[in-house]
Amino acid sequence: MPTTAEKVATALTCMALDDRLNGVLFFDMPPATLASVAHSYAGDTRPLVIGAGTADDGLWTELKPAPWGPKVAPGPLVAGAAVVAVPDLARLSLAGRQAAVSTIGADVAHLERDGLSVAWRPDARWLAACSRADIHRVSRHLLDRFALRIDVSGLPAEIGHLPVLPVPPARPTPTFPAEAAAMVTELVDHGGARRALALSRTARALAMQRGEAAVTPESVAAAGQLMGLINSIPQGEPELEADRKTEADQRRGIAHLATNVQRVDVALPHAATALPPASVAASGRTTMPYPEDNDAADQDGPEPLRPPGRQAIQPGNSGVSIGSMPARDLRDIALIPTMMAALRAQGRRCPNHFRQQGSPHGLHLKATDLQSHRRADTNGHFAVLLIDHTCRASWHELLRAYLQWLYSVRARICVVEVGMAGSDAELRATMFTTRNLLDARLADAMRRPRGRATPLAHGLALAARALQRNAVSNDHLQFLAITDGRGNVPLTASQTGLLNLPVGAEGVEDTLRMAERIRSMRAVRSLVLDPDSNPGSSLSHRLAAALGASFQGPNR
Amino acid sequence: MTEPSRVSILPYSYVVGQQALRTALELAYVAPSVGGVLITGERGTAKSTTVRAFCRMVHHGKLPVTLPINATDDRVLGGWDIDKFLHGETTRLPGLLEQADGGLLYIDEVNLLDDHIVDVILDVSASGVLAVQREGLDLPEIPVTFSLVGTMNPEEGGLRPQLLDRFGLVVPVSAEADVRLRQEILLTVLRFERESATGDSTWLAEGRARDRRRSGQLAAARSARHAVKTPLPVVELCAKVSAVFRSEGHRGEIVMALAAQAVAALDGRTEVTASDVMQVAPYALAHRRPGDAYEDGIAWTAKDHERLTEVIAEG
Repeated sequence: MPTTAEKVATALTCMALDDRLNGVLFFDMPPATLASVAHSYAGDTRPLVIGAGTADDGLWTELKPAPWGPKVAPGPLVAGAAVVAVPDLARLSLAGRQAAVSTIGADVAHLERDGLSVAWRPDARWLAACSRADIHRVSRHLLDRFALRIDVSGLPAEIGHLPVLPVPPARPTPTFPAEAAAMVTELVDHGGARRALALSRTARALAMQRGEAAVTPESVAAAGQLMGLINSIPQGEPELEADRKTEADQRRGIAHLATNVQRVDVALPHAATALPPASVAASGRTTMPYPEDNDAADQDGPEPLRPPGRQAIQPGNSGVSIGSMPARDLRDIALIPTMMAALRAQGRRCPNHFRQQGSPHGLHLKATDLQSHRRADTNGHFAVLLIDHTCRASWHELLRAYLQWLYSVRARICVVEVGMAGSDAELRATMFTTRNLLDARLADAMRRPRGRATPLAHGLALAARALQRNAVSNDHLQFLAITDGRGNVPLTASQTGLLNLPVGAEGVEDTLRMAERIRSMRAVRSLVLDPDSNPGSSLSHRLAAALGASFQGPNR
Repeated sequence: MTEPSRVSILPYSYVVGQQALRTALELAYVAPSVGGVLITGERGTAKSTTVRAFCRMVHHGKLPVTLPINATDDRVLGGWDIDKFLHGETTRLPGLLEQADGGLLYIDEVNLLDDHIVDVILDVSASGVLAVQREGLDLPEIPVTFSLVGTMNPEEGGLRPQLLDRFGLVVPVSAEADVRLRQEILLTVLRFERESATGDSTWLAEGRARDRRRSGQLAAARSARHAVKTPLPVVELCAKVSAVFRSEGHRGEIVMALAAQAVAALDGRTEVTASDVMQVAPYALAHRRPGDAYEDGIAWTAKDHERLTEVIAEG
């Protein structure tokens, strides 16, 4: 078995040999070690280290000095960083996450910012680290870009013998026979193509290092072992020189490996219970390279609505720039508007400014020229509060602590109301959104009388809509439902306004279906509060289970 | 940094699987008034690769005009050439919307686009006019028409209904489940990478030749599409299908009829049939049913297919 340090070195060598193998995620590598590894790997160049404070400006564009004033130029991501280091993927800023999604593995990337228009094929190698305990905080979409995963728990802080980019390919790229492809699809048998491609490219890079003209089953198995897809490679099959292997030898090797490798099953969603014992390492700790496939991983996340602590405001990174305004201080200066403001005054400040051909000089800049970004308001917290007015018991006291916390984080609140008396359309839920908790409509909503129908399925559908709409611009999404789970209006009835009696269990089934839809949004933390809950009432518990939510009954 | 002209993209003819996606792109090209395509689906299903390969094929090697998710509004709407401005010259730099005029505007990860830029796109897309009054620019209104092509992963959130409605056709895509197809995809991509590394690849040359032939067929169909007739019963069928599936507004049946015309043109026929409507109805209606975009995701289920078959059979 290779040591952890050898696994890291092997992975980095493979990435050096194949510029399309350009994203690796090291599980449980300390951030400081990742930074150190990235510096070693980048050799004489400087790696681009990005994290929670990374903004688009500085990543995609940067300011460079020029004889006539500052010049906006393509930033390090566009113009040359060979290695991008992400010491903690779970805490990467929105700009960093978007950069990763836009460039890792892309055929082509585009820069269209601040007067610059550049298209290029990104080939920077992204090295990221993330604790397994934090992996649920990273979106599946972003994780998919890091298809090559290496478990490095136990790695010493000081590791040596790391390769340095670039490693010139010593030999031509090996061919990839159909038998090797069959083995790859056997090991990675579901989902999109990125994982299978990462395994194939790693196998090909290993084959290249071994001097193979064609990728062999042994190389695929070694790549699988490196990525944690295979626990061990069977011994006893004599090593053959690659150039002496016949097709029959290769087929025999495939058959042998396919039947004898101790495969790590990657769980399909909802199939975690079907994992065989072989899927867990001897230590009893999972080494599965794709924990995001396992819904159970979500259960380890923080408690819903548990205050995560106030986040520091990141200068210049509080929202998307939607314009500019005169600057009040030197934070978050908008460069292009500032230059435009200064340029308009150059003729007045220096009559010959643009007439001195061949000897340009700097801009005449005054404090009044300075412009700062006008940014869209994003505080990062968004909560959907579903109130089922048909709950019999009082729920206001139950809700108090959660409302206090929502106020403290200045969350935007979307209120979905179900089952209030006097509604024009009793079969439908209603919805409104407030900037924060201090909105009179919210107080009104909490005082409404109880109606007869409970269109809970429609309420959850509206909640799903609101959560989905706000998933892009908010880091913290909460769903809080006050209900006893007794939905008695089918979704179709809410949509059409026609109720066909009897409804049977359709209202409850639709409710659970909508709940599962909310559960599929990984970023959402849910909580069900049932003021009526008693041992005989199971509907709200079923709803909480379908949502993947925590549950709180009455305070007794 | 690799120059865009040297960016290596798999020839469109070598794309394996994703038949629905390819069909929708071709239909939108043959009948531009269909109004673009949204491709929504899971990760790693070659959405972006297929779009770029298609654009390179039909636009003679050029990459599509692409709006990245973090584009600034000066690049979307247009602004001054800053470098020249610093030298005292006033040269206007056209924005992406203007560059896309008459062609298509590609937005990868369209659901991650900020609302501010979405508003700009909706404004120009709905009015067909680009008006710029900013940073000292005061341009006469510029007529701009473009087809939106977007790709997105619905796990990251949905689209605003107004933006969703700007896409004529929507194609939900998923990973190929057939093992042989998965192997073929793998082998094709790996071969493409290997052949791209060699200076002179007959395999790639053959792919480009196939692309030229397909591009010629599509251009011919695009010219012939205007001569394709849509009989009254087929028009009525489009309206009926749209009503049965409770499509919001009238754009659904219009897009359906236009896309059906494109199918007939591609097939070398001069008249639209009910089976053409059958083929395109899911793409035209999947995102126009009430609540579909949010409540159940954009999908065309086996039950929908069954119902559509019944409606088409009823005539």
